[in-house]
Amino acid sequence: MCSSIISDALPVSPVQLLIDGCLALLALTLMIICASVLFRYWNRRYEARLDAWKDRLYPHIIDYIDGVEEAAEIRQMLDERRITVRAFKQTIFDLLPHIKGREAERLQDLLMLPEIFDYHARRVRSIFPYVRIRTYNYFSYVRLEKGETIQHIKSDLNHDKQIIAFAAASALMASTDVSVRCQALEHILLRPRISQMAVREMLHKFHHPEAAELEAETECLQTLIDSNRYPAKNIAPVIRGAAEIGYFELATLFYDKLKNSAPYWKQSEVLSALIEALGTFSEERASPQIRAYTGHPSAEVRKACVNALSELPSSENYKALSNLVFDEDFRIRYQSLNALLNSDEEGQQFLRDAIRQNPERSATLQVESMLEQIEAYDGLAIG
Amino acid sequence: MNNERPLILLVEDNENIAKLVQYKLKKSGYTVEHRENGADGWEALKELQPDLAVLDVMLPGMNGFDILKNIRTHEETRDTNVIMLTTKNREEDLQRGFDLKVQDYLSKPFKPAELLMRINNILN
Repeated sequence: MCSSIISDALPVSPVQLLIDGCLALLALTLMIICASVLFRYWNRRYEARLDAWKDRLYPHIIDYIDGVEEAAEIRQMLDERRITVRAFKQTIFDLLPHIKGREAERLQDLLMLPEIFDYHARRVRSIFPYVRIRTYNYFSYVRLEKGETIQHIKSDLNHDKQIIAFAAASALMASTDVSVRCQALEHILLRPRISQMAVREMLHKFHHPEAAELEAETECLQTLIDSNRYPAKNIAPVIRGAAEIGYFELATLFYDKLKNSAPYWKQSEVLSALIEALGTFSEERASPQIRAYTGHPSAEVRKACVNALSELPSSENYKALSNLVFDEDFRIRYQSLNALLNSDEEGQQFLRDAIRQNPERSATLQVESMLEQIEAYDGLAIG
Repeated sequence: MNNERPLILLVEDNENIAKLVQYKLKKSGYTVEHRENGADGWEALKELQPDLAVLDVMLPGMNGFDILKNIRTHEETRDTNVIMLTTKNREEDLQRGFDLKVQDYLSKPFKPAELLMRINNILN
């Protein structure tokens, strides 16, 4: 009896198997199509609702920044739902880049409404990294003062994923406390794979131009640069960026480091950054050291010398620049030539003399052809 | 003026700026027409002959200066008041605009209240 049941159930032909498989695949495909249609429908509805909320909030936000409406009226419209917070936040983020002055400040004030701030403060604790990244983006626009929130964000500074650590550091740069910003910058500098552009961006976020904190910020940067703890490629953009922003008090530190014989400060990335920064600061006393590096084997360092010496006009520096006009690297030849052409009569005379007196005809021909290309040959009157 | 409510043509490709300017101007009693690119902007200028045009400098296709040049060379649009909105604050751009008799300039980011004040000054 048993054996007859088994033998009845077992025989399934390959054709039947193929048909079953195809049907299963068809059913799965239909399910995916249905899910995708449903998702698109839901998404469109959500976007339409979001736009409707933005349209409702927009006049109130504009009236608030014009000073004709109180924040209380906007607060009544906001609730704990994600969609209202998102519509509110997006409206402000859309407007902020295009508005300046008191109106922009009032827009930022709106981001600090308790309904909005508390919503994000809760999301900082999310277990999902992408939620935290979005939340950090919000915090980077506000004045971050609450200690508990700062502590939560700080815990991501050491995250394995660079994007999370960077988002956390960006958020902390909105802190009104320089020491918090300094700590965030330090964590970024310790990352071996961070790009120079990212470091530069972080330094600009670190600097709060409106606040009278230049001294405290300078102190932080001095400690960071002086520590020799960070990879050369990370500290170089800090040195250059600090000069661009205008931390003039760091000039003495940079000058000392330029004279320092420790290998860390002799790495071409760090060295060229120091030279360029001292040029940006127009630091005359560094001229002899900078001139000494015009013969450095690294083109990056020689290029930094051209940039710095162009900012430090003097007979000795013109002489050094006129030698670089015959450099083996095209960019250095071109930049030093332009620096002398754009200098005063004395600098241009150094250039004429250098071309006339150079015994190597091939080198002078190269320079003359470059002058012709930039249509400056006749103006210089080499004779 | 073409009708009781002065007509302002806004030629601006950034939707956020366009929305903001339109809102502010409409609320202040102006009629506003908006175009997103230079070619459409120039067509609208000829057709509508607005009391004032707010032109962005950087526009897709025909830029703000091209439109301004056209405005000044065509009889029917020659006297149109123009305010330029620009991200560039360069001396030569300002000069170029003033050579083409632009009434005013505003660089982005801007204060919405200031734009409104300048428009009111020109039209009243």
